[in-house]
Amino acid sequence: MKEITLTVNDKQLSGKEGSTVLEICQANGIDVPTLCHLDGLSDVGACRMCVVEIEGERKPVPSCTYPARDGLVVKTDTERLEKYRRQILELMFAERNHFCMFCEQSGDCELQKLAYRYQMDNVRYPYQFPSQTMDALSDYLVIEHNRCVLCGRCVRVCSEIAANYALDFSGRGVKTLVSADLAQPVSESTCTTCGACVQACPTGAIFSKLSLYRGITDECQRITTVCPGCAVGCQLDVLVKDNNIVRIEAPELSGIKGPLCKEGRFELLRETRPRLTSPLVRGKQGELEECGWDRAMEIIAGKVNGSKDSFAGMISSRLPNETLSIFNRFINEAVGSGLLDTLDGDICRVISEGIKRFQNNGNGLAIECPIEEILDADCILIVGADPKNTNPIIGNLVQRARRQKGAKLIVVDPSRNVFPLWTDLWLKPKAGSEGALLAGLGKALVDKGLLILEKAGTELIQSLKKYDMVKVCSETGIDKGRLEMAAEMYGQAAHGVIIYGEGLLNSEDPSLITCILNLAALTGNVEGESLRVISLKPGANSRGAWELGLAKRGVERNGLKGLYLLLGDDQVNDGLIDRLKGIGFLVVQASYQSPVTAMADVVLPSPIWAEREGKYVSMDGNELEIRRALKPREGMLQDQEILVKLSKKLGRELITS
Amino acid sequence: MKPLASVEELNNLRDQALNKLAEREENIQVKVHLGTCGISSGATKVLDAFLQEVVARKIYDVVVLQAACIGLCGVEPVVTVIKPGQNKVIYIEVTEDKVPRIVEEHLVRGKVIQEWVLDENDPLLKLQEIRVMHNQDLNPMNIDEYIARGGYQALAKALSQMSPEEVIEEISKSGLRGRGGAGFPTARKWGFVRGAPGDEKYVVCNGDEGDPGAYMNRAVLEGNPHSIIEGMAIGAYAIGNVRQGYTYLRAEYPLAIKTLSHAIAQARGYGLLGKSILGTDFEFSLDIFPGAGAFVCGEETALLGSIEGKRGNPRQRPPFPAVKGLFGKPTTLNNVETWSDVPQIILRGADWFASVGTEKSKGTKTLCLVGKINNTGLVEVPLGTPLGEIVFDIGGGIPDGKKYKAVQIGGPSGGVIPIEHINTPVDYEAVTALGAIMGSGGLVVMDEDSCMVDVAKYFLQFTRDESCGKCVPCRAGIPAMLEILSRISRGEGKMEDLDTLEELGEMVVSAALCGLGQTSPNPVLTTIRHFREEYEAHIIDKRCPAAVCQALFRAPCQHTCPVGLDVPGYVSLIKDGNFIESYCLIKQRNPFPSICGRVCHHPCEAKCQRGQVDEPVAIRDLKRFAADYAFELGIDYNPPVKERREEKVAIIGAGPAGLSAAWDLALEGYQVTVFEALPVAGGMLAVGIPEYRLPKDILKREVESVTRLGVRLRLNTRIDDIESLLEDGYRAVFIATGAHKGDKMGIPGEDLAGIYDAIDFLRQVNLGKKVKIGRKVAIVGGGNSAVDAARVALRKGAKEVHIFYRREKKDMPAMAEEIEDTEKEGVQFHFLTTPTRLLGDNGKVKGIECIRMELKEFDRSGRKTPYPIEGSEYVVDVDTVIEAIGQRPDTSFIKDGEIQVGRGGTVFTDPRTLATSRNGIFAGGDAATGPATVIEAIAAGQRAASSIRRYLEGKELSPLVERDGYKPIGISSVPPTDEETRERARVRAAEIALPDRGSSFKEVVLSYSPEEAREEASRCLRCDLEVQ
Repeated sequence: MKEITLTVNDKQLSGKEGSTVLEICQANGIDVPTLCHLDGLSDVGACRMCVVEIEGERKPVPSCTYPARDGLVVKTDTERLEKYRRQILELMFAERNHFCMFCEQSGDCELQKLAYRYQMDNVRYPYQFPSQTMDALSDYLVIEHNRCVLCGRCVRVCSEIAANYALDFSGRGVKTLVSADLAQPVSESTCTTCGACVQACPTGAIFSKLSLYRGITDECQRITTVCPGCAVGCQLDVLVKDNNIVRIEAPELSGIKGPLCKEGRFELLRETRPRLTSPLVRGKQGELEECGWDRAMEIIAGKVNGSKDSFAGMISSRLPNETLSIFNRFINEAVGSGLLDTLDGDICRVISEGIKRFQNNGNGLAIECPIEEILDADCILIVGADPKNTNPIIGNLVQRARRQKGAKLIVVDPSRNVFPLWTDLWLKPKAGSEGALLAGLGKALVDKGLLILEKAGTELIQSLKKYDMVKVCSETGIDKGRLEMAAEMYGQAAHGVIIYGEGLLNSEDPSLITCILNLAALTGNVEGESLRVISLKPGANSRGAWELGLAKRGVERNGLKGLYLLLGDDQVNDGLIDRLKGIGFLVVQASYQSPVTAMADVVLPSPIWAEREGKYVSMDGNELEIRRALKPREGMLQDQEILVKLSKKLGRELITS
Repeated sequence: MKPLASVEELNNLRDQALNKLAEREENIQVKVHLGTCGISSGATKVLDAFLQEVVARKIYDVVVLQAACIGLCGVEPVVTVIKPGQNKVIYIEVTEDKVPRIVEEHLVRGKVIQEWVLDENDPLLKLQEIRVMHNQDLNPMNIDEYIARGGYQALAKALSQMSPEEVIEEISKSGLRGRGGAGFPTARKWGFVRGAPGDEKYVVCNGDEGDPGAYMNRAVLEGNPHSIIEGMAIGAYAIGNVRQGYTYLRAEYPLAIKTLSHAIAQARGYGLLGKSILGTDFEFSLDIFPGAGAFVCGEETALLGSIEGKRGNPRQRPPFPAVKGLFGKPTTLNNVETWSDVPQIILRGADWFASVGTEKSKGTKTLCLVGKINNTGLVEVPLGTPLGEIVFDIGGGIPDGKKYKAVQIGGPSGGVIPIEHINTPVDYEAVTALGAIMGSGGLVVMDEDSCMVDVAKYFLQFTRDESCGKCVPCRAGIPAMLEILSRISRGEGKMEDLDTLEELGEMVVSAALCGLGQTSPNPVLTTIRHFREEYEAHIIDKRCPAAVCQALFRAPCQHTCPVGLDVPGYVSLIKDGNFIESYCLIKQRNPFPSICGRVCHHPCEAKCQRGQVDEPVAIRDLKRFAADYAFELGIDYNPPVKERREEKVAIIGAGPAGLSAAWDLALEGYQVTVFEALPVAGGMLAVGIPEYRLPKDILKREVESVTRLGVRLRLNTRIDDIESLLEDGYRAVFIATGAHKGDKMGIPGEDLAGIYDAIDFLRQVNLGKKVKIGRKVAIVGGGNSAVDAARVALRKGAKEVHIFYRREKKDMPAMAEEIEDTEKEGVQFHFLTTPTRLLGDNGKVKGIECIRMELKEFDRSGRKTPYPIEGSEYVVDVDTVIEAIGQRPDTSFIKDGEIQVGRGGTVFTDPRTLATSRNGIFAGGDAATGPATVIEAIAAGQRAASSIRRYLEGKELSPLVERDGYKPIGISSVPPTDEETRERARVRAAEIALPDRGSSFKEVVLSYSPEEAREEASRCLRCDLEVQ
């Protein structure tokens, strides 16, 4: 980009060609007031606060949309402009019902700040006093039209960043309203409650019910950490006041993982499970009773010592590397049984095996591409996955590629069309026939000449060529034409990305994964050492656990005399309860009471996500730092400390760095 | 239809089509004009009726055809009849039942039915320059007719003989500017897009015509659709890399959509759209995109967004559509009329196009005339045609003899142009200089009944509703301005509001995002700029001069009456037979009901809502009836006098102003003396108005009614020294000396014997003095005193009376009914003449030399200015000349510096309080305003009385005259029945027959009988009930 020079307020400023006047002003410390502008969103010039005078222009122009040129002469602070800005502010205040003293956002409001800046102590224009409704039906957020300045930041963030297009304007002129879908309550609309609009809103028009009156930004400490919700690894800014979380927001709204999701932004604040605060042991009546750490540990140590070889460990992959690593050593060294698995170990092993069969050298998960690749895709093939629900940011990236860049979208799933409005082609194989379908896809690609044959082993090609399409069709129940259409869409794509997930992984058939990897490799969707394939892993730190070797093999339940479950703040499901039934001695280290803790013989309290620190590895291999946002409660120990102490009791000193 | 593979094939087709047209022209052609305007007035039925009639009567030499709107939208259905070798005849307001007679008389027997025909010399037709509209007489559904007229020849010429650059050069030379309103040079726009990088570009036609009162594009779309298609194809060729065009039409124009769709299909059929057009490698397709009813989609960026399927919101430029337009590609967007102009420029040349228009605005423009104008419809004139010519000559002026006030040009984005600028040439620069915009060409004409605050409100309501809501200045600024305007129209405004409006408007103009917002304050800003006094009337006087803003009044008649007489009240009482109560109600506010019942110029009647049904209620005659009825019974009512006050007040002049002030002050209890220089009381009522209009005894009884209250009247007492009055203990003085001095013409011979001024002449006659009047009398002037003098002269024995007036009859300031009576009595009028000198013999006048005048540009009064025609002098032999060209106050009794006196002798006052430059001295009526009317003088008297009372009570003077809330008894609150509101003319008061007038000064017009009065009163629509 060319360097250009312009004169702003009689000062020479330089900047890059292609920037707007506003960007150059801001980069050079010239404070031009804005309201509808938000970094990372397109600029629309709606609020007119940033108007500047430019030599040669008949009228003031909004600096946020005006392309900077070499030699421009700009004034940002003339008397006329300042007068206009004040008038515009007054109009905004007169237009709806902005009564700061009743507003939750008072003190945190850009409109209010501008009013202070322009010393707007009265409004000279007639108040319109409209009676707008308030949409407060959602459990998460409120749209209060009376405080809306129609800057459109929510609309743009919903479409440009969240790629959800749920919000738009309805009506026109003074009757314009921000509406969800066809003016439905936001809770009944296609809104995914990612909450990006809450963060984008400059006033109190869209606010979170979960953060109401908890505090304003200036009173908060901001801690950047990583979301424990899924394996995408979104960064969270946790705003804390008095050791309470006020709210969670994205550090960078316009980043790849910018919008966050309902889980990360809201659900983490909506925790209702009863917290465990002290160790519990089963008393004489068989009831769990509080006891001291020492006693709890002694009981555990006693049991472990009696059955070392058949005492296993299971751990949630929501826990950071440091905890996983200590647990690994605890089982291997202190307990000594080596019986160790993660809760999602089965799935890891299917992926792992599938990859191993594809490439003998075993580069492992490095074969997968970064999730950013989705944004550049021109065709996305989703196999047995529901990213919108399991990993909303992946769903968001798919929608952005599909809706903003025109990527083709193919869904392979026996029962669900996971992007019902946007899927170009939904292949609906009979349950269990995914393998046949993938092979059929390969066959169609060969037939159409869309495979790069030199890269494939002749054996594979031959086997594919011999493949009977009629059989594929009858087995999968899919029309040949549709299969060929999918082959063409994916095969002709310059940048095809395959996403697969639990729908495929639950089949426990690694050959499906091998098949997918082959499709990607043979259609040339290769980026250096990796393929444009992404597997959706279940836990926030599944990949970390995998790389640490915690899930190499499963733990056979039969014959176990005891099991140490480090659950942390993870959720409990029926599968887990089943797996724990009939175990002789059960230790559960968890943050919350649950059916699992109810089954335990000893329960140890564990910190929650915000009280932990350490590292995660995201699903695409980035190491991310978790920072402690909340001070742990008194008397609580970090997971690692518990394991170290317990090891000591077992006579093993685990040195931690 | 076969695609035309070459220009030659097009030419062959043209020749065939021409032959067909020629064959048709051998018959009688009946063309029924089927524009939307025609169809909505029943033209389809007329077409059917012609077909049936012609078939039924087996007439074989008649062809009945359909054609488009030719602009006579106000007189639809319109039918053109063309006989071979004869001029065409245009029938207007043709209903089905008129068809048989037209067929019988005109088609069969060859006799034009003149009374149904629009004269082809009508200025409406003659003064236009038809170019864009030149194909409106064709059937728009038939492409062959267009081709016969040279259609698609321009495209053929461009493709076969011109390079794209040459096409742009030709357009550039023609000076064509965007007809959508902004007037951007079309060739430059094309050049930008041609120069913009990209191999995919678009041309777009903006047919989202949404201004209230503008429909010229509709007429072209419906009448000449191929000119748009051809223009766009030429544009696409000139710009290059354009393969697709769109026409964005508003969905409210279904016929336009149908016609254009049909035209596009036909053009496709002939291969004039599509691939390899006329055998060349030029390719161009065109589609229609109907809008969804948003006005803002006429804004180019919003329009493009709408075609892209997005919300029709404007977006900030730059980038301009020329760089980044439709689907992000370089795009040219032009108005319907601009595209339609293109083929003719290419075919007939830039010079031909530029042969009309002004320096910077070339060619013609279609304009819509709507509002208070006689010829409602569509016209086409060269740019630069003076506004007055469009409104008065082509448009036929204002209906019902009302006064022109202003024209709103450019729709809600435009502004109001007042009478002062009636000579403004209608071109881009001149119109913009006045704060309006050319816009797409809608002219909304407004007369005296339009309130400018209300007009501004109306347009702001429109833009408020049509604002997209994106940017704050427009979305929130318009409602804020509107709220302030509403406040003003409710009489709750403050003078600061005007500053706020101007300041806010200026910000919105400067800071709004798109053209809609930036121009939305124009109606407010221009009305404040040109009609500030109307705003002030609403704010200070709580009055709406046009009687529109309903919150300020009960009924328009009452509001218009300078003294605020409860007209609905007294009319209602008369209707119910409560004549005495009616008289008492009138006398609450007006001391001179009998006088006003005879000579008031009744502004109330001009605002009477009944006038919109048939004729206004005869309010004045009803007042006279009530007063005469009471007089017959010997009843003289005055409101009760309040507590006696000892302060003495002097009033100079016993005219209507002085006497009404005296009456009001006497009712308040003050000690009032009226000094009158003449031997009679009444001022102009006594010495100006002839007795046949106002009998002496009537005047006398109403003067006596005032003196009965204790007012002392000192006749024959000329005051020469105001100071001495104050020394005599008068605490306040009201100067109401009228305007009794006649103006002189200033031409040679004015000192001859036998020359009078009208004021002097009438005074002499009224005072019973002997006046020598000759046989042949010349009167010079056109006002009331001219016609009074003429009729008095007749009664004084003149055999011939001539009135010389420099303008036309319609321009005469005299009251219409007086002019009518004067004509009836045999006075001869010489219009458009003015005396140049008076000829004498032995010091005595013997003739008057006149010169003929011609009317040129309009003056500030909305009348054309007369100029003498050199060499057209002529002489009329007369022996008496009465000059009635004007009169002025004689205030020579005021000593220098004592009180400020203006030019022309008028006493300088604050018009709202009537205070002069000196404390305690007030002035009003003709002495302060120059010659005005009786009722205005009475109002001035009351205003003076109010101010004097406040002055004496030590209060601040107020512009508002306080009125006691007199609650009359028995005013019905029953609205009129259907029977009463049905159309019927007013009841005419009887007049004495012409032969009986002779030299008599007997009153000409008689009073109503009680039955007549009740009948007439029952015509009142009782607007007062509706408002409440």
